[in-house]
Amino acid sequence: MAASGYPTAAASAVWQQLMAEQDATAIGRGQKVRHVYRSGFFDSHPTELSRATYLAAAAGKTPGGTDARAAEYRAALAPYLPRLLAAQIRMNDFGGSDFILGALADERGWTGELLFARGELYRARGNPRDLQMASIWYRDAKAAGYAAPELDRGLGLALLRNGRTEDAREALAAYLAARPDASDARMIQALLAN
Amino acid sequence: MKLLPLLIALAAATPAVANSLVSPGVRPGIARSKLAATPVGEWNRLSRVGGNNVEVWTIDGDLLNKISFYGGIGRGRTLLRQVDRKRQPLPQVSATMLLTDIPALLETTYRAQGAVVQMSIDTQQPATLGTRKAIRFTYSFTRSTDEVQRKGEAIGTMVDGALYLVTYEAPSLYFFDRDIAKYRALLNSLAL
Repeated sequence: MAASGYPTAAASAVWQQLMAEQDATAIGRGQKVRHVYRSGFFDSHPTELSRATYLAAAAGKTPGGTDARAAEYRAALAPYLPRLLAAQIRMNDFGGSDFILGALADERGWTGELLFARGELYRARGNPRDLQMASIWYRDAKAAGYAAPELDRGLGLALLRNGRTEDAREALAAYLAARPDASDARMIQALLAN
Repeated sequence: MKLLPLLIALAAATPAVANSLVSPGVRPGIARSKLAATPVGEWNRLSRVGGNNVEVWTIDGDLLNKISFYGGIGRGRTLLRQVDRKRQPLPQVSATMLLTDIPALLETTYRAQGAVVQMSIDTQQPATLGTRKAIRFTYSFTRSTDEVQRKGEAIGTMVDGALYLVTYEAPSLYFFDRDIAKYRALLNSLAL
């Protein structure tokens, strides 16, 4: 890895990031955060903590290059990001998903795409307070320049579920106007008719 | 001689745990709920189901064609029994769910179990179940265990904060199209 010119500390950073995500998942589920150094008797792999530690120690001896080429990685991943985020939101892992969005936002700021995904995440959990926050994220996403009509769909459904029917109508009508032949257009119309 | 009572007990207990035949004719109380249907042909009811208010019917086995009835899943309950509540908690039904949240709940349940790695909700249309407003949706998914592309068609509604859902799932290749008419016929006979 050092010969390739990548910073060798990245190998440890991967495991640290994974542990941080697991922590966020556990906290989101109201569970205790726990990482152990030693593998259990039946474990087939070393634990994340031991990997992060010995990889960091090894990286200290041979630091390698300085450019992780993160920009190229992000550019290559960009076309798939909406699909990956949509799948993550359906994992029933609120804490972990919100952590991932936050980590992405740390490196590139809260883009419209990330705000939209956050709106979808909060709408999926669907507590009254979540629905209110979801409408805020959707509107922030719009303000940040996110223009896909699905934003109006999410916003409308969040408002509708939260009992704000008039505002919901407006947003869902905007979605239907932009996507008259969407695969759920008739269902959304039926919701509006209620 | 002491074996005899045991054998009798075993023999008596067997039908309760075995799969059973669903004969044509009216069948009330599906999935221990108000759901009723009048199948035209024969189905097999599996004894192995995913939860308390779940009933599974199949013709050739649940990997080839499977109808799942979810009968009145109330607020705070999950569609399927939670196998690993700590590491893979399943999403819960909420009384405020919109009809469009039903497909999302099914997808989240499947994904949260860890078995389904790819899934998409393809179409969503208004429908009626009994006399209730309902959602009819189609979807496709793949399990990591066999990597077979499956398609699904389902109808769901909320009654007094409880979810009623009927799904039909089969491999996209051959089986889905072969048996979809039988599912739709059953669906037409469904009462709630």
